[in-house]
Amino acid sequence: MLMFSVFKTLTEQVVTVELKNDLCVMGTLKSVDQFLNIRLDNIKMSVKNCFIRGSVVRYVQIPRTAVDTTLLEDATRREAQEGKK
Amino acid sequence: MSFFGFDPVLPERRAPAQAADEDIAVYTWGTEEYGDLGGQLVEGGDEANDETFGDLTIGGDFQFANHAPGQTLASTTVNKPKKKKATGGDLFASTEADFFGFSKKSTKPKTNISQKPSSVVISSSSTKPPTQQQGLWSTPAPSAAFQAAASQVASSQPAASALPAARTLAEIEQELLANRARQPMTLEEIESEMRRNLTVDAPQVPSGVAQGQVQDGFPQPQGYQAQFPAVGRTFPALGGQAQNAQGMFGQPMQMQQPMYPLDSRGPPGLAPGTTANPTSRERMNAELEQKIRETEVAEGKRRRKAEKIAGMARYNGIMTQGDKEFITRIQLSQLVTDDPYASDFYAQVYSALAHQRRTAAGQPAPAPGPTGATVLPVTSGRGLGVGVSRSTGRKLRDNAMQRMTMQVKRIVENAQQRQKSAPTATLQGALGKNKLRPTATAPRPALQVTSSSRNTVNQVPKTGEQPSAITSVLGAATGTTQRQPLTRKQVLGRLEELFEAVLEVEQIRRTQPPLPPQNEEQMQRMGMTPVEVEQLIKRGQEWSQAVQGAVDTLWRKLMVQEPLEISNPHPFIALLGPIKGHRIFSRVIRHFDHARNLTMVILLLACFPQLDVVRNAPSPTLTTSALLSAPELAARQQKEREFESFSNNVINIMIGVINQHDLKMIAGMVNLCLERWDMKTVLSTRPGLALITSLLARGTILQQGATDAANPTPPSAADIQQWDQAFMTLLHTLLPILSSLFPSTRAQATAFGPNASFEAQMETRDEYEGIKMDVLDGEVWGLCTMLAAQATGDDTTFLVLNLRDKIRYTFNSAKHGWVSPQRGEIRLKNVDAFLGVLGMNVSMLN
Repeated sequence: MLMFSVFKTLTEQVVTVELKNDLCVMGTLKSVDQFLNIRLDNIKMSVKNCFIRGSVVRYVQIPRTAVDTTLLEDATRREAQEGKK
Repeated sequence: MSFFGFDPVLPERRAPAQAADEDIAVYTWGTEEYGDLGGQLVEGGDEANDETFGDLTIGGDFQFANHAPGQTLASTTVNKPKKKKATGGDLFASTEADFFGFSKKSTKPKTNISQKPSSVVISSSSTKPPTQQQGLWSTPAPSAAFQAAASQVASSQPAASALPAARTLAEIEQELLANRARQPMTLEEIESEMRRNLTVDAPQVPSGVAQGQVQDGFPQPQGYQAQFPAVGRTFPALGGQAQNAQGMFGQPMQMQQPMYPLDSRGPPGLAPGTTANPTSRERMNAELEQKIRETEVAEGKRRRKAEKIAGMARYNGIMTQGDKEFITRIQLSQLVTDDPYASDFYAQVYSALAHQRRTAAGQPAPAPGPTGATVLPVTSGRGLGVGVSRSTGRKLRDNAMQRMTMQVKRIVENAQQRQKSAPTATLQGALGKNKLRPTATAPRPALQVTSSSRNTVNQVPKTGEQPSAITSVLGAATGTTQRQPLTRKQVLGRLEELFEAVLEVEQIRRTQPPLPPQNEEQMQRMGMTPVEVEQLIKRGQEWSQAVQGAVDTLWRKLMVQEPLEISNPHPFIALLGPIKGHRIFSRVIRHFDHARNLTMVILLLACFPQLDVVRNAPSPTLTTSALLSAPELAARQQKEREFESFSNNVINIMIGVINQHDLKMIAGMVNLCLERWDMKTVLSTRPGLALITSLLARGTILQQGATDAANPTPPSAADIQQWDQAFMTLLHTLLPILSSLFPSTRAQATAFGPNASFEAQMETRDEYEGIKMDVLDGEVWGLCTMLAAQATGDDTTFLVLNLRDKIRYTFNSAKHGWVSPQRGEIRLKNVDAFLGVLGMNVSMLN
């Protein structure tokens, strides 16, 4: 849920999705769901947009400025706490 | 002789006469002889055509009812159809009789009765070649060989016609239909009908037709009946209807006149005015047409359906909008949790912070309210985090959201209902190992850290090897004993606990209930009853108690109240070791009140030399980073990062706290520093330097009578005296060491020994690091400036005397270009600030 929550804040950001088949797709993040399926827009391919199944994603490169690291640390702690309960 | 019995003699060696001897027919079409044959054709006999096709009365010679079966083949009637047949022989295949496959059952036995196998052949078979039929129907005096062949064919045909392969399925079907339709007639009815027809219609019926009819089925009623007792039953549904019976009767008549030039619509030779036969034919045609129409309609329906299915098949596997929405709702219903703020923590807080930033920047923020909220409340206490709210398409989105919320709510409620009603206990494990939590919302942690490795604050190390276990217990008892300092691991563990405590406090603070109205008027404006206000006040009290409890826990975990000498470093100081600790310091401080903050700062000042950043501060060096090995470089960078973090998160906040206190407190702090610090060591570090400088600055400002919010009144005379005393002590402590505090000097001393001459200084070659060194020097110059500002009389002279060499060298290096112009400028500025306070100028040094 944490990553889902993080990705929700990253919509409309330009991200690069690295797939497990060594393919890189750069585009605007349109939406993401709890399986981390990703919808990208304005991609540099023969098609304009795409939907990526979350399980085939290896990495997502996100802009540094769009992430609040302190908050992310806190969110991680909270999740760990909930896991302990 | 030939083994197989044929003539082995080659054709060319055969005797020419042999061909002539053969009794087989020699056909010579196209020759003169053939032309003669054409002349031999009987062209006459046309005079009887009127009898056949016209409505002239015809003699009774064909009244087959009176004839014996053998006599029916009257030569007059036989000859006439022969001609017809010559023209329409190939029509056999297309007659209606064939089409309906009529009366299979009845024709077969007929052959036996009438002993005219030829009729059977004609009526039941459509595949026969016309020549054969012509031969069968020709005059009964052909050559003997031909007759024999004909009878052979006749005897073999019934068997052939019985083969199912000879007919199509449609034919069989039609035949069955016709049979069924035929059954209703009783034998008597048929007979009477026949008679009636004969008497009434006989003149219109052509002789050939009549003959066919006789051959077809009704030559001898008795025999017929004997042969087919089953036919004698009446068919209840249709039996007795005269019309029907007539129709049935008529059918075989039409169907089975083989030589009649019939097309499927009816014989053109028959006048439309004829009574019985045309009506039945029309009826039949109508029936047929209706059948065709029905079939066509059915076919059309089927085709339309097929087209529709094919059209829809294009979208097979494509979800409709409704499908998509349904799945979206299912997905969303999985996201609904009891605590949407907790499960969607990052997005919630992030959007809140973004909102704050936007508001601070003066940009229009999304309107707050139920729709602007980042959580969709589904049921009470439950909800769905939707993350950052955006301002685009607000209205449309709101409607959709509202609808969706309702639907998701329904799904969630249904799921809960099911959960309640389903007897899960008995079914548990029936399908193997079940996951208790949905994987999407709570993924299985890949890394599981056992919590036993973490130490709680009050946990006493259990291992007997550590003497601290005993001493800590003893220390707790007596209050004087020292404890082992915290290990790095312990520090990190406790920091995590601190973070959890801080998060707890922040979480509670976020759930602050609305403030109760302050007076009657406000209460009325808010539309609240006194009871509600009472509840609100109570909730507020509970909330503040919760906050207070959480803050107290946090305070305890900070270990500020531990005895000062309990360990070195003090536990609280140890917590400030890692960068993580610096960060938490700035976070916790805003949750504590004034007194606790002051306690924290005083403890920090008292234990300042124990700090990691002070104790392990890097000594300035002339060595450029290019000469350092990778680990050394990494270590240096790490130190710099630590200092940056400490400076930003701790020193700045400490200065903030210091600036809230009056002169007396500042004096007390300076005294504390003097008492506890090894000034040379601490002031050689940037944090110590910064702290002392800011203390001095604050003291100077207050001493000069400045007032601010924290100090509404100017300091009393006693306070000023105390401050002056503290300052004098500090100044005299600092004077001897002041010149050695400069990083450049210390770097020089490290490189060339403590007594190296100022004039022989070596400058670092690296421009960037040189500038950095000069900036660091500037911090010391800043302290000197503060001291100079406060110093009076002789102290000022001493100050300048102590710094004389440094001033001169710095000035000269800048003036004579020993360093780059940029560095020279920095150096001149540093010195100028110091001299300016003393009422002097750089130019005076010349």
